[in-house]
Parts: sequence; structure tokens; C-alpha cells
Amino acid sequence: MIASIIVALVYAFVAALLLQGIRRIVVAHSQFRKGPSIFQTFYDFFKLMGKESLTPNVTSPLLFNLAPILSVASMLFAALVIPLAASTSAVGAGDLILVIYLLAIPPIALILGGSASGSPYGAIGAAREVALLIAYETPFIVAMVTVALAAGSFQLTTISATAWITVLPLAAIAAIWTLPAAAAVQPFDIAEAETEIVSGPYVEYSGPNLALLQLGQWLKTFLYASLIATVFFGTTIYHFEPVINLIIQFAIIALLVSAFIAFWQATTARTRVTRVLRYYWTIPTMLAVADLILYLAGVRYMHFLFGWAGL
Amino acid sequence: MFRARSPWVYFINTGSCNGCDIEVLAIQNPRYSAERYGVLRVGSPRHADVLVVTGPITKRMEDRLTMIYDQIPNPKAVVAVGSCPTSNGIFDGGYSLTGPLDTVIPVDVYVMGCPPRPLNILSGIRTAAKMLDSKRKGRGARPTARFDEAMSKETVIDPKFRSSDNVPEAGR
Repeated sequence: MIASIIVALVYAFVAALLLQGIRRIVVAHSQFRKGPSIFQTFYDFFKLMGKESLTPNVTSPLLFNLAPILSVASMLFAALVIPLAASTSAVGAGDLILVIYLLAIPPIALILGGSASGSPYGAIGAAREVALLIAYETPFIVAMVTVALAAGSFQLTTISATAWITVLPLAAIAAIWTLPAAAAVQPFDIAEAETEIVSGPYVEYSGPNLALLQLGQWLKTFLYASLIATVFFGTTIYHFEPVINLIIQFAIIALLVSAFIAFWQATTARTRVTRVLRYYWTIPTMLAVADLILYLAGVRYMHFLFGWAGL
Repeated sequence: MFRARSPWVYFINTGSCNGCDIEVLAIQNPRYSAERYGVLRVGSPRHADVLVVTGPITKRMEDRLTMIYDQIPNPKAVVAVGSCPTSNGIFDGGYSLTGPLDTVIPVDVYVMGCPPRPLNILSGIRTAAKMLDSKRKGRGARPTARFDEAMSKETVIDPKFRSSDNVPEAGR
């Protein structure tokens, strides 16, 4: 129990930081640059931990300093309740609703910290983060509810016994579609928007506080992708040695992140806040709702299409 | 060890002719690719480790410069890019200057040239980043004397040109 908890926390930390290194390398190579080292995020993190932390006078110090800790703490908790490369999570159980709520806490910490920082950029960034959260959570939650309905349970251990992409592919597409918004990178980095509102909620943070706030965001990207991998690809593929299982899962997540986060980041420009709402509330939400309605109506279209293949 | 490998840079133009700024921007392009050394351009001085200054220091920019310098958390390093922040360059003797950069804030690395080549600027940033390792973390914000003077008195800049009423408090 204790050993599995430590393994889950260390794996989540290392994988989240390595994933950002991979993302930066993929983006750099897409732009014909030679990217940073794969360990660059580790250098950035430990450098920031060793720097001075400034708290502006106009801020509310408690909220300002609490937000980064809240962000990281919620994500470490989520790492314990999501099954990571095993049929069960580190604490032996995991509830889908709990995980969905936990994954919403880093943006909420950003909103709190940005609003408390007393900077107009922080306030604008916090307002944009709210809009972004509402936009991408809608298709994601509808897709997840469809899966839970089909599995007949909210327990992740029960849900992940089946690879749901073979049953509910439209819901899977909708959920994977929300990855770039959850990672808050290029087309959807409206809350940070370095060239517009100089990093938004992060603007007044420095040193360890900034490191923890970014770590929360990185962990969230990793755990969001691993939740999608667990729910839609199932955990039946993880029947090897634990270390090999972890490598397989990390490879799947790295592939998801390279294809759906880094590639979009390298090839698109930032969009507007209103467009994000319109974007996510039309096609991805429609896909998820269509799968929900088809499932409730008893239409098993994957069975009709691929029944002969034995899926 | 980690500081030398991830210098986050804040660029400021204190009255430059834009020649150095164009060369400074060039270090991020695929040819020079500063990100392979972990060099990132940041939008807020609070995220920065290295301050890169181009141009002679004009009177209007002096208190902005000290304000930005004091907002960078310790340890920090300053790189003077081009002849102007080093010696005022071709603007020497101008009525609107307050002198070379090292009379305003402490400078760690001088990159000479008018303008210097992008690789020299990149090399200067890396040299400054290596110096960060030997600097102490410090405790609390220690504003420079000039900063306090600029914030408390009217006399640093001619009142006619003073526009601090329009400048937000910058969180201090």
C-alpha cells in the first residue's frame, strides 16, 4: 500500500515533467529548431525552487501562497486514485466523479491565485481561465458520463476492465479532442497568452510558488491524458511486469501528447475566448451527446460495423 | 547546476536604435535556436533570471529600468548588449542620457558590438547564467537606493516629464 503510493507519486512527478520535455522537443522539431534537452523541465523546476519568492504588497497573501499548494496537492491526490498502468489505483479504489472534480482544481487554483495577485493581467487571465474551463469540461464530462452509463459504474476499476474506444468511439474522440485545452497550450493558451497579457494568472508569481503552480499544470496534463488512456484504452493491456507496464503507459500517453497537444501547438495560433466556447460546444459536445443518445437507444453501431472482426 | 541550464530572459529596450533588438530576437530563430540551452523569453520580470538591456539609458527609462531590476527575484544577472549600455556608444554626450548601464544597476556581462552578432548575445546570456550559480539566493526584496529615491522623491526626473501618475503601481 505505502510502496504503491510512493511509486504512483514518483511516477506521476517524473512522467509529468518528462512529458513536457517531449512536448517541447516535438514542437521545436516541427519548427525546424533543435529543441531543449528532454530533462529541461526538471532544470526549470529545480531552478525555480531555488529562487526567491516575492509576494506583492497589494495581494491577499494567504490566497496567493495557498493556490500553488492547492494545485499540486489536488493533483498528487488524483495520482493516487487514477489507475496508473495497473488494473487498480494506488489506494485500491477510484471514483470517476472524484477524479473529474480533482482535475478541475488546478484551473481553480489558477483562478484564485490570479485574482488574488492584484494585477489586472492576473484578473483578465483568471476570467479567461473560467471560460476555458467551462468550454472543455462540457464535452469531456458528457463523454465520461456516457462511458460510466455503459459500464454501469463510476468505479474506475470497473470501467477500465473494457477498452471503451471499441464501443464508444465518438465519446473517445470527444474526450481526446479536449486534451489541448486541458493542457492549456498554443491554440488554447488564452489564459496565459504571454504575448497579450504577459502570462495572465502567473504574472505575479516567482520562485517556488511559480514552480508549484506550473507543476500543478504539468501534472494535470499528464493525469488528464492518463485518465483518457485508462478509460478508453482499458487496463487489460497492462499484464506484464510493473516496470514494463509503466513504460507502456508512458509511451501511450507520450503518443497522445505528441499527436494532440504538441502538433497542434506547433501548427496553430492562439484563438479568442469566445471562439473556444463555440468550438467546444458544437462538434465535440455533439459527438459525445450523439454517442450518449445512440447508446441509450440501444444502437451498438460498432457491433454492426465490426462485428465480423470479433470486436 | 540547474540555474546555468535554464536561464529565463527578460529583454528591455532603454532607448536603443532597434539594431540590437533585431539581433536579440534572432537568437530564438531556427538558425541560432536559443531554446536548446534552455533560454526562454518570459513576459514578466518576476519569472526572469537574466535581464538583457539594449540601448543607452535615457532619463525617461531610468526609473522603469530600476523598477524592473528590483522585481526580478534573486539570484539575477544583467547582460548589457551592444556598445550603448556599455559606453553610451554613438549617443555619448546626449542631453537625455543618464549614462552607461553600470552607473544605474550592477552589470555582470558586457556584449560588445554595434550591433553584436546573435551568437555573441547567446554566449553572453549563457555566461551570465553560469554566474547565477555562484550568487546567493538572498532574502526578501532589496530595492536599490536609486529605486527608493525614484519612488519617494520628485527630483530624479524633471517634473515636467514625470508621468508616474499614469504608471500603475507595479505591485510594490
